[in-house]
Amino acid sequence: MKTHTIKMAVLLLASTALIAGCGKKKVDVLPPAAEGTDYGQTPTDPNAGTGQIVPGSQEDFLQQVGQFGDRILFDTDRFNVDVEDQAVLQRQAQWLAQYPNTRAIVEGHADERGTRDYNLALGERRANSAKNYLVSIGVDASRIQTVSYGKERPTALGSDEQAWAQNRRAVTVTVR
Amino acid sequence: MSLFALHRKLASFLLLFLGAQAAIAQTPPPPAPASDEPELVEFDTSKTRSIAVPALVAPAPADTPAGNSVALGRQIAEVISSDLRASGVFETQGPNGLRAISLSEVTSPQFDYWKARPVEQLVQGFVRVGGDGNLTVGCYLYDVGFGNETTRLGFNVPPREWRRAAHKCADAIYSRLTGELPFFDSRIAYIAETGPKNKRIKRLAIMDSDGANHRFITNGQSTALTPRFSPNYKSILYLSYVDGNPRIYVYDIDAGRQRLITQSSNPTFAPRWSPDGQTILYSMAVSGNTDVYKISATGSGSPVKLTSSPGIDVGGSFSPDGRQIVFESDRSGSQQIYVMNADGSNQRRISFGSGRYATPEWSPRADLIAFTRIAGDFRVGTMRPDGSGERLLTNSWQDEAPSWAPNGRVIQFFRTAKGSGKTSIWQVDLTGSNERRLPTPVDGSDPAWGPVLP
Amino acid sequence: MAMDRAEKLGLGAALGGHVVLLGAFALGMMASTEATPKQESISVSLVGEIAEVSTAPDAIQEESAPPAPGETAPAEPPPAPAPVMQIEKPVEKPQARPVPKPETAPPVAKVAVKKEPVKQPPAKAAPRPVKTAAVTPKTTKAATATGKGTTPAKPGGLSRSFEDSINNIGKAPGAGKAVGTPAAKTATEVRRSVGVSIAGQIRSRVRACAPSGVDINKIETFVTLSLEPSGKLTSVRFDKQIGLNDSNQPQAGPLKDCILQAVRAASPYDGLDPEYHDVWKTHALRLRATG
Repeated sequence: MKTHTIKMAVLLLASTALIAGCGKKKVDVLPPAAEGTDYGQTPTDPNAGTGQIVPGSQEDFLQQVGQFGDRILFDTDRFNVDVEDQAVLQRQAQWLAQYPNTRAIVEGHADERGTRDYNLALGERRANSAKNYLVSIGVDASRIQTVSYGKERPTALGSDEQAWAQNRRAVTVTVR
Repeated sequence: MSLFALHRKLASFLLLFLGAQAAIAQTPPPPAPASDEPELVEFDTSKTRSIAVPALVAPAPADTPAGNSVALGRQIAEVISSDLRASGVFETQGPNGLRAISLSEVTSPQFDYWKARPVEQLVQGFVRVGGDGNLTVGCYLYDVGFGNETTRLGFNVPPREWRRAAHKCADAIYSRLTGELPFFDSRIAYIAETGPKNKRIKRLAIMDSDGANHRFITNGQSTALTPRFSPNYKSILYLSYVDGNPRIYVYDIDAGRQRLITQSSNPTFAPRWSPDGQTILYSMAVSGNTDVYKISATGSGSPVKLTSSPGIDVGGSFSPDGRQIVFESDRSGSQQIYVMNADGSNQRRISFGSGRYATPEWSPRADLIAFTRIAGDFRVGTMRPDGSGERLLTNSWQDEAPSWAPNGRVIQFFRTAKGSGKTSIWQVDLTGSNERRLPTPVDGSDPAWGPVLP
Repeated sequence: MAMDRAEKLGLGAALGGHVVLLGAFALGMMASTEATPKQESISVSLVGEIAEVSTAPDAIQEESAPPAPGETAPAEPPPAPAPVMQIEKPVEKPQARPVPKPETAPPVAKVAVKKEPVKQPPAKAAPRPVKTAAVTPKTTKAATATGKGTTPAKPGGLSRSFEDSINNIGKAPGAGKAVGTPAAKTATEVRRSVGVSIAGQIRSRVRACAPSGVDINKIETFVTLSLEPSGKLTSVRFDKQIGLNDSNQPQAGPLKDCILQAVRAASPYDGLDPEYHDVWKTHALRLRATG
């Protein structure tokens, strides 16, 4: 079951850490240096109002698309974009059209109730589904990258259907 | 006696003899017919075998960089004892609680003393420090019941590798008494986990098969997943998010450097070595569709695409002879197990039980394929390469990703706790017995077992 | 009464004829001995294997002499050649476990061989006494009242039962131990109770050394025991194993060795009636793990 009206007790919003995704870095020595850290999650409250939100920023994006507007959800093992998802993605596409210098990364995720490699593949499917729809409604494909996190980055922490439903998601993160 | 009486006596004897000869000649030994098959004698095999491992004798105590040889003698016995006990086949005594043995006893055990304890098998040995500073470790296995020696071996190692000498002794003892190939002298690669469920720190780590000599390889700044030792232990294949995307690297352990296995910008995951270490099997997603590929381990040459179904084809494991590959695919609508030739031909499904089947791994013994079965809970099991004889070995909320000990007798997997999501590494005997947790410094997942060290 | 010439000649001819016949039958018996199909050789691990080979790979140096006893520090380590911890070959599958003492002492072997035509087949032990018994009453009737009298020299390989039968010539029927049909029933009962007795004495020993493994309970091991009247085991022969597959193959050798050792260790066997030794002098066993 997927729904955008599920209230979360704590809203953990993704803020973007700059991912050095412009080009692949050849890593010579391990442990790796500070750059190239992978995606991290830090909680921010876009409604705090303490600072000015810069237009075209990720905070701006989140504010514009609304709560949960940055993500679409999926049924178990599914990766199709249904009508509800389309509405969400259309709002995202509108914002992206407003700020043509921004790019987006669509993250694909799966819930913990799957095996690791398959979930990486499934997350990739979900990310691509969302990307394909965005492209189909006019967003330039070169502006959108996909990355799968499989089951590595749950957003809801429980081991129940509610939590799993929230974790089966494709999340759009904008990058300047 | 009259002659006639004598004659009659002789005649009767002859007749008897004739009759007997006829009896023998007329009953040639035929094979025993089924009805004459001996009655069945049944016995049970659940009993563990008792084995005593007193401290190894250090006849000329000397200091080494790894400690005094007397202490090493005790530590080696402890490792031997732990290995044998961990296998689930033996119940061990000592070295704690056992009296010290003299050097002469090493080759001339006091069988009556050990028989009275009682104990069935006895391991005795010695540790010597050579002029070159290396250790010479000798270990002897005795059958107490029969009062004789079963086997003896000697090893010469640098002091810092004393544990390997202990593992080699334990391996020889285990092999001799069970018929199995050895597996104690080997290393395990896995992912060490810390942190909250939604912000896990995952580091590549390696350790001995008993958890000793633990070492972190990555520092956790980037998520590391699904490692595999190369068959020669020189490299580790693994998945890293170090550049923000899932990519497979070959990490050279000695050099401390790594390289990508393919320059493709597509996400790659689920890396595996071929048994000869010459080929790398991996999965790559192109435009959202994941297929199984192989590429030369040296990095030269182009990848070969092995599957092409519109479904997710992922993972994979070579048969020990390198001629077949078992992998998982959801082309039928749900995750199931398939086998194909190493060139991608003749892909056929082998799992037809109830539930979904994932993470297939071919046993180094070639006789079985281990898998994760998903039917509500996640359970680790085995089936024959034709899909028959399915046996489930574990029964927990989420056990997954089995890999094999190098002798194909023990299966290692990781267990996720419901709710907390905390992971731990476990092992279970092929018979389903002796399920035990492998101690790790922090949580652990994705365990992979390397071969027996040369 | 004196013999006349004709009687002398007749007697001489008769005696000569008997000698020829006896000789012919003796030869014939030996011929039939060789015609008996050869039995499987006893599969025994040689003691020599311990000294020669360790199960460790080749490059591992084996201790060839015991360490110097006492407190005198040895001048050099016992293994003479340079020991290095490099293994060139993977570890071999373990050898069969060694036997504590040599299996075939010559007199034992001879007895075993000679008894072959007699014991063949074990299942036929019942009919044989019947046949012997069938002969006995006839000759008993034909014989004179002279009892044991002149028992002739035994040709090679004549079993004790024949000796007994010969000695029983002149005794009432049923005095011998194998007389008519009642002997067959007795033999079966005897075999069964002997089987229970032997199994009980072997089972706990097998349990102590039997390996565990996948499909271990599919392996059936067949062995044949040769026993003296005292219950002492003279030899045990491994016949075959069935039910082997890829998964339980590693346990086949250790299981076989375990069973052979257990059979030897349980000797001498209690509760075996010497009177029926003929029935149980060889005893076939079929063993299988439960579970």
